[in-house]
Amino acid sequence: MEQIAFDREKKYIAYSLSGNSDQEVLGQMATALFKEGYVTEDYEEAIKKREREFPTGLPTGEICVAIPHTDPEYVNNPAVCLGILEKPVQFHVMGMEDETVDVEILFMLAIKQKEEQLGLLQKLIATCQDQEMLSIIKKGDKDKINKVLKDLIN
Amino acid sequence: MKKILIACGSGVCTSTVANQKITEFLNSNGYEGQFKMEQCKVAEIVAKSENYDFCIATTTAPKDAKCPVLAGLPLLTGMGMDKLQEDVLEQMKK
Repeated sequence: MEQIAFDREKKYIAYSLSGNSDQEVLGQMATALFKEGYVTEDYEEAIKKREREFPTGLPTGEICVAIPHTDPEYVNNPAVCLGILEKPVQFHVMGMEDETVDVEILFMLAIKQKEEQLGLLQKLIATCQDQEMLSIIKKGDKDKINKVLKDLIN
Repeated sequence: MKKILIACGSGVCTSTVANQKITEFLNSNGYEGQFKMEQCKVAEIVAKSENYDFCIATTTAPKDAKCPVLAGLPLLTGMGMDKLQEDVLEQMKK
């Protein structure tokens, strides 16, 4: 797991990572958020459980994404953790439990309040629907990732 | 006045996006002021559904809801939006 970008003030972190299952990559990213103090220790277990019950894979086209998240009670400070997977990992599709999708990009959300996060969520979903943007993220260029995440959070 | 329930796993994340997109869509189709939305957790659908005309859920919804439930996934992926919008308009006309 390699850190690509981190901005404490803007509240984002980005990693390049690899794993063999959705639960494994979720664990790595949740641990990173916990180590930086954004979430509680229980966040990891909560996000893994949530993914099993309510999967977050989104079939967005050539490059597919997942947006794992859980309840606000596990969040100390809101943040976004971007995970770029070195090889795709299978996630279940949101709302379609029998379907799977090969995910290459994860946006792990530590959300505190829905009102405050609306702008972020809207921009995030717009990003997920923009294959060109996802392709830029997937390439993992540090400056471009910083810009994408700053735009997302501002 | 149509009452619409918008559900996701937590009631605060993807349902927030769905709420905003459906509100925009209905307003631009002449329904401004003619509907009320409430967000909830998908686990609350069965209990709440009785009091709503229809529900849009971004996660897997229980099968025993007492109102029609539409799948909200297209609001997040952008794929299959036309069909969802059609279904929403159909529910509004009922």
